[in-house]
Amino acid sequence: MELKRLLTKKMVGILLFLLMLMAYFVQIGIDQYKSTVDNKEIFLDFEAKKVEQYINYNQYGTYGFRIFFMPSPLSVFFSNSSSISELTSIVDAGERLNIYNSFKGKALFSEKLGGFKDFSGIMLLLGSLMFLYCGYEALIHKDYLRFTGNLVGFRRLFLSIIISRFFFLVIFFAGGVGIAFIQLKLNHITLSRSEYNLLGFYVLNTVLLSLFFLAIGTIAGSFKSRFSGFVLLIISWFLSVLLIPGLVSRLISQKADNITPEYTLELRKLKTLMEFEKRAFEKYGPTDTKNISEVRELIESYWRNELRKIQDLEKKLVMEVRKNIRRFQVFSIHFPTTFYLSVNNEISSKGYNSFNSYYDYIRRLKEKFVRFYLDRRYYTDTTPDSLTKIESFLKKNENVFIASSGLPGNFWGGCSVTLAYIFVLWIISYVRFKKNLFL
Amino acid sequence: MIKIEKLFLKKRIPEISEFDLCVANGESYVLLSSDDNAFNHLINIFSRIEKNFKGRVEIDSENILEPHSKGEINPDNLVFLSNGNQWPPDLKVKDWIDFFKKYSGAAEEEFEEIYIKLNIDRISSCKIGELPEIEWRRILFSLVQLNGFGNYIFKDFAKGMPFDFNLEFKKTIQRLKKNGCAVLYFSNDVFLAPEIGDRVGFMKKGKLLLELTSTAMKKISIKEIYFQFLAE
Repeated sequence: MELKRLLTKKMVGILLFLLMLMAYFVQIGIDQYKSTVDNKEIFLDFEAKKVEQYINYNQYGTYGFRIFFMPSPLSVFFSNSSSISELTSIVDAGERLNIYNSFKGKALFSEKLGGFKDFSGIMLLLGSLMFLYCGYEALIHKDYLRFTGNLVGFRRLFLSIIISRFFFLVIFFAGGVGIAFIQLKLNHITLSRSEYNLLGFYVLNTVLLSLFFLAIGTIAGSFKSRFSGFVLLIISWFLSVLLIPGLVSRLISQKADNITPEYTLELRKLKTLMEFEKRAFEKYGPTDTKNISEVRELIESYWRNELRKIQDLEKKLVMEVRKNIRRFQVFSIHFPTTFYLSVNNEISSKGYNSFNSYYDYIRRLKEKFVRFYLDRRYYTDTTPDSLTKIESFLKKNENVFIASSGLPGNFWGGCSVTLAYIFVLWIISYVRFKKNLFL
Repeated sequence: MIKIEKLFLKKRIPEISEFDLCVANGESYVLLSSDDNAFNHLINIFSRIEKNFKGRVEIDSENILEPHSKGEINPDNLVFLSNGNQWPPDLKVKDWIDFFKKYSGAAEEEFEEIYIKLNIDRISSCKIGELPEIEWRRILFSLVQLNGFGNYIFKDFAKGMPFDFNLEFKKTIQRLKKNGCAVLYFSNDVFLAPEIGDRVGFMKKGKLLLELTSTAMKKISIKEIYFQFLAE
């Protein structure tokens, strides 16, 4: 009966519209992912050709190489709402370790992130409105509820209202994911087993979110005045979807001001390197075959001391960034919508944890590259200005970082908090349902 | 039979105190008050939603606070109908009737009778929102009678309805009484009260101030009654 009440032409129309919108944004995500895959091929080709252009290891060490950030296929569901987009980093044999997002050329016009224009964003922005409306609409027809409640019992009626709507929303959501799977198949994008599992976690998180909004909707519907209920509906949507996530983001952004600025770090690293260069030059002058053994000793001292100092500076920054990421994830679990966004961020493979892994990866690669450069420059090719055949440092596709999707560390904690919210809201909703039914 | 003895309901506006009322089987009683909330509190008690009261409320000599036995559908033998029209407008009449049929336990023949009387085949594919209010109230009233409930509570059910509906309603009340049902009608309509009720009670600020038989009430000036008992 409740399902029949729910499946009206209006509701089916809204559902179809949302499904179409979700399919549209999944397609945009797929297009973006395919474009990234194409860019990766161009990038690999370019980087390989670039190494061929260098005439000696001095040049290779100075210009370094770039590392491409490749998101997981799951990013098609979160193409607009994740924290990071296409990233590239540049690594040289000196102090340089830059991570950047180029705005040169067509990249300037790419979609700006942090929005709702993707599958998960639409679920939050419009799906939440639909869940709220479903809950609100369930309890506004008081005469019907009184009559039916007297017929079947109020507790039973309330439970059937919740369960029918819950299944309805799950079926709707399953429909959305099903269409997305078809789109992925048609575009020859395959997901791994672990990615399927993570998608399952996303579904779980969205189901929890829908129950949260459904509960708020029923509370709004239980108001005697429809207008007051409607106002509560709008306010709670605005707070949950826009204001609270915005506040958390703002707070984290403010806390991030305490992180060492990039320029300060770069200067410290440069100073460490230049002090070494100055000392080396004053002691031995330009490197040649006569002083090579002394220079090698000095270079090993650089490897043991100055390079470690530079790495420690990087590590310190990493720790500061991680502390802020941890803070963001802890703040996020306290409210269902912020938790939803935080989980999506990590499942998308374009979140903070992926950034951390990327950062670690390029730091490790940089250390190897410095060793490679020192070996080639001071042990194999001791005449820096002569023409040498350059051997590429990178094996296979080492300069492509394949980001993997994951979950934030406190996933189950966040689920428990969201469940607690849902539980409390459903109790309030039931009490209000009974209390206000005859008012 | 509907019986209320020494009812006290505190911390509600209005507070109900020292409230006694008894509607015997085969009797109709109209409770008049200008305060809608007082009616709502009473309906909450009858619906077992409000349990925090003192005194005794009985339906067919059974305490309303006694727990239901599991699986029993409407064990109170009580039906409630109000004047409100807050029904899902998109719900189909047929779906609602099927649902009612499933849970009411009424016999198929009785349903067929109602179908013919109200010409339900004609409107069964309609949505509730498409029906005139009077027609929907007729359907509801006819359906609830199928169950053979022994006790009826109405809240302004005939209010705002045309003359023919009221006439039909009064006739049905008489028939229910003949069948031994107890009818309690909450209203603020002093004109309709003596037409429907055998007795009429006047309630003000949660207290029953006066009780009259309908014959006695017809002899008193309505204006006087209104100003003395109903006007705030």
